[in-house]
Amino acid sequence: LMTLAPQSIDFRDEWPSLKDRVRNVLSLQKSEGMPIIEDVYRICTSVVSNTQMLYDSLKLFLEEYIGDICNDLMNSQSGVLNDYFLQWNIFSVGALYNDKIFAYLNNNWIKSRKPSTRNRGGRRRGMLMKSRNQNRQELYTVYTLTMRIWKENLFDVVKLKLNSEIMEEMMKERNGEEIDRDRIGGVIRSIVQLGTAYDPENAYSLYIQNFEEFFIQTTVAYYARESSLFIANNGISAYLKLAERRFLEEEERANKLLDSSSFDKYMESLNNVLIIHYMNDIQIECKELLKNNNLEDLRRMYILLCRIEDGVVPMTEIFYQFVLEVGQSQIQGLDLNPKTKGKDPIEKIYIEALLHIYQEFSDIVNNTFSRDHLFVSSLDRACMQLVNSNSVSRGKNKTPEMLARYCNHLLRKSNRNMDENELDTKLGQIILIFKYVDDKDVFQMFYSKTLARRLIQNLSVSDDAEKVMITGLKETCGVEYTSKLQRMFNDMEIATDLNSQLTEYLSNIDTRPNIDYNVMVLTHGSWPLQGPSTNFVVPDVLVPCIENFTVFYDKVYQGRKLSWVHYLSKADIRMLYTKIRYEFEATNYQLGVLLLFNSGANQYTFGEIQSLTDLSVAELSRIIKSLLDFRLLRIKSRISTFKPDDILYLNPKFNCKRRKFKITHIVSKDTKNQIERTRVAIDEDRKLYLQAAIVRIMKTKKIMKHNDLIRMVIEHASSRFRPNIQVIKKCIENLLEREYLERNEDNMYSYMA
Amino acid sequence: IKMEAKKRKNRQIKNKGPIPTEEQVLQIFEIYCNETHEYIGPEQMLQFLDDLNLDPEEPTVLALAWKLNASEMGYFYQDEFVEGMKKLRVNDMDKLKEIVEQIKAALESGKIPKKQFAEMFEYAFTYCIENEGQRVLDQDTIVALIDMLLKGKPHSDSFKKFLIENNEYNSMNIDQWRCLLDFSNEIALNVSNYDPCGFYPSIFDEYVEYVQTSTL
Repeated sequence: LMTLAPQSIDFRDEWPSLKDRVRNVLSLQKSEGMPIIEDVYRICTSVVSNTQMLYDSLKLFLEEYIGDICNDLMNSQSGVLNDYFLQWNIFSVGALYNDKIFAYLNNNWIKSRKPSTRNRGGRRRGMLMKSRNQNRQELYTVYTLTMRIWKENLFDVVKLKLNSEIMEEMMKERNGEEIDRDRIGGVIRSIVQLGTAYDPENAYSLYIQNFEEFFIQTTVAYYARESSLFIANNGISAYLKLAERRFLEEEERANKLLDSSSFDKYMESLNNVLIIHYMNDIQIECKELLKNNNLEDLRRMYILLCRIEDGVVPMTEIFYQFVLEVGQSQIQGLDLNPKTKGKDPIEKIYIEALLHIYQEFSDIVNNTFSRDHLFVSSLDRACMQLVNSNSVSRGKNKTPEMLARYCNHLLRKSNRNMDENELDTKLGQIILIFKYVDDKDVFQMFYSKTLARRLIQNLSVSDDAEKVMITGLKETCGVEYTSKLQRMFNDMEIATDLNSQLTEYLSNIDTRPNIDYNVMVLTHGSWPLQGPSTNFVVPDVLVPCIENFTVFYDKVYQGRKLSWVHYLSKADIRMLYTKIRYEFEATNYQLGVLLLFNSGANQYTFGEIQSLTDLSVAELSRIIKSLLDFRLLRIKSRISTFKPDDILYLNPKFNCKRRKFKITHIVSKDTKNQIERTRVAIDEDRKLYLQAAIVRIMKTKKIMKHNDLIRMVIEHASSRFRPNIQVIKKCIENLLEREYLERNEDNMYSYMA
Repeated sequence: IKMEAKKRKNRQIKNKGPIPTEEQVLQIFEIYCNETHEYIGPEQMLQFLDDLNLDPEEPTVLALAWKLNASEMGYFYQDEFVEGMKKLRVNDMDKLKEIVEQIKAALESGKIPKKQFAEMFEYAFTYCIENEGQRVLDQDTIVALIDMLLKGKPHSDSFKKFLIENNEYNSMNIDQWRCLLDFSNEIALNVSNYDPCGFYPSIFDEYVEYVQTSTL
């Protein structure tokens, strides 16, 4: 049994045996139990204080012990790395046990003297001041002391050799050899551990300064050499593969061997040496890869550059330039000569070309660049520029017009060959291009014109397809954009109902005409139709139809005014004076002319026809020409233009291959004049739109600077068209004159209520 | 603020002399007015200006009209005349001559505060409007005004030429007129500092183009 009371001890007697037992513990050769702890207790609590002696002797002993190990290491045959690993494994465990043995010393003497554990109570201060002066040297707990001595007397001596041997192993592994990773990992971990014990407040500084820095520097130097040599011999394209591989390897290596705190630093330095250093060359190569459509290497390049912050940005810029270049040259190379035989219409060639360019590069963005948003926006930018200004459109906003015409081409019955799904896809593509178009109002104008034609002449291939387009336009531009188009559809739907009501009505009245007819009622203002360009005497046979309908319509809708559009109306006519009962379709104007011959006369002069029908000379000439071309009429003489005396007569020898045919010549192609008028109309619309926008903005803001107003107007209009600043200025001036706005002294505009 | 106004008023009284009585002013008016005593009209104006040593074409006349806030060119109505003369502290012809000389000197030296000149400049436009609802002044009037008010300024000559030669712009409205003053003061002779996207009305965009093409 041991007594706890202080005893008289002679340290010199006690120390040798204690020392040996400490050695045993440190070297893990023999485990020592309670007795050694009791001995420590006795020494520490002896009557005459021996603690300082104990501490100092322990310190000296450790220096000796560790010094011996150090010598062994330096003289080692099997390599410092190997032996250090073995020694450390023993020592680090032993040191922990040793610390436990001296627990009493730690807790009752060392800790109370260390500045960080000093009690701030007043009573103690006097005593501690004295001890501070006495104990100039630092005091450490036994474990820390052990580790510090290891660090200063052993680690500092061997670290250079240790590091270089580690790097040798790394080189071996990089060259494909197998190495003992456990050993290296263990040593590296031991360095971290040592650092934590040595200076707990800066736990990583030992690791960083004595290992990590060296590791990273050596690695970087190695790769700098390897990369530059490789590129000189093999070029950048092949280098990308190497870089990719090296990154994967080093990531794995870092995860397995290095402390996790090193990872980011390490990767950054690798980024620098493997990628950033060659940025220029990589960018140049990027263009080559695009030219050669080398998607695999492009993807590799993309993934590598993703590692670096904003690394892909130069690549997106090159991509943008490339798309633009390729796009422009492809458009330029299109053969849009309408005289080339057997070809698709111009609009189809042009739009399909744009689509093809978009599709090709969109695929690349999706697959090679993983739909990276930077590339998506580069593609958008390029397409926006390409779609709006290329060798075809040349600043005259041809693209929206072409797009509308192509759309018309797709939606007509003549496009019967396309099945429903194909058509839907195509229309989806149209919308895609549409989104890029600046001047959407131009598209709207041409689209509504072609739609009107399709609806009136019943040329639509399918109602569903038409609806798909409207929906797409609505989603892109909003309801206001498609409101007129929607109303056109509504009119058509109402027309169907109305005509069945009409039929019922007619069957119940006596004054029913003996001609079957139906009427399309179009809401004025929603349809892009011009009024008739000529007068027209309505043929007698049609008068009762018109009268009946007017009465009927007034019953259904009171108070609406109807204007009859004969130039768009058609009639089915049966020929009774020929052997074969031909049936043909003609316009009402043509009908008017032909019906004159029903009166019995079989010839008229041009002038007579003109006065009887009240048609303008221009219009009548067109009609007569069409009737002559179809050989329904013949003329006695003619030079170039019709003269009032020219005699026209029905052709008694009329024949035609088909029994049923059409002579309707509703002008289907826009004359240059009409196109010009359309553009003027668009400009006028735009002016009104801009003025309305300015007023709306000024009403809200009350006062605005000139530049701010311009900016807001441009933004406001952007969903419809890109306004010209000069035009906006003129609109502002117009509003100033009309006193919606005024200019104040600071040259700002204020809203006048 | 009240103190400032009072000080200013005191200063003015010192400079300008006492407020004349209605009789004193009417005395002057009576010398030149027409038979019905309603106004000094075009026929009487010549004598009136002559007695003041004023040429009808010179800017001082315009300045005088402005001071009187005359509503119609060529006429000084009685109420305008009386009010205006009172403001100017004119109690007899000698005082009026003195004031006129002051105005003349100020115009010639160019030492008129910017704001005042701008007011007068704008006033000149409305002064020249003859018909109710008229919004623009024709070319000749504008040219005359430029001669009177912007004499010697950098763009005066070339702008007049531009108006005459240009087919689209043959008249100016008040907004354009107002901006002409700013333009004269701000824009360099070689129009290098002009921004076509700026707030100047489009007539100036045209003018700048005109200048640029004629110097080529």
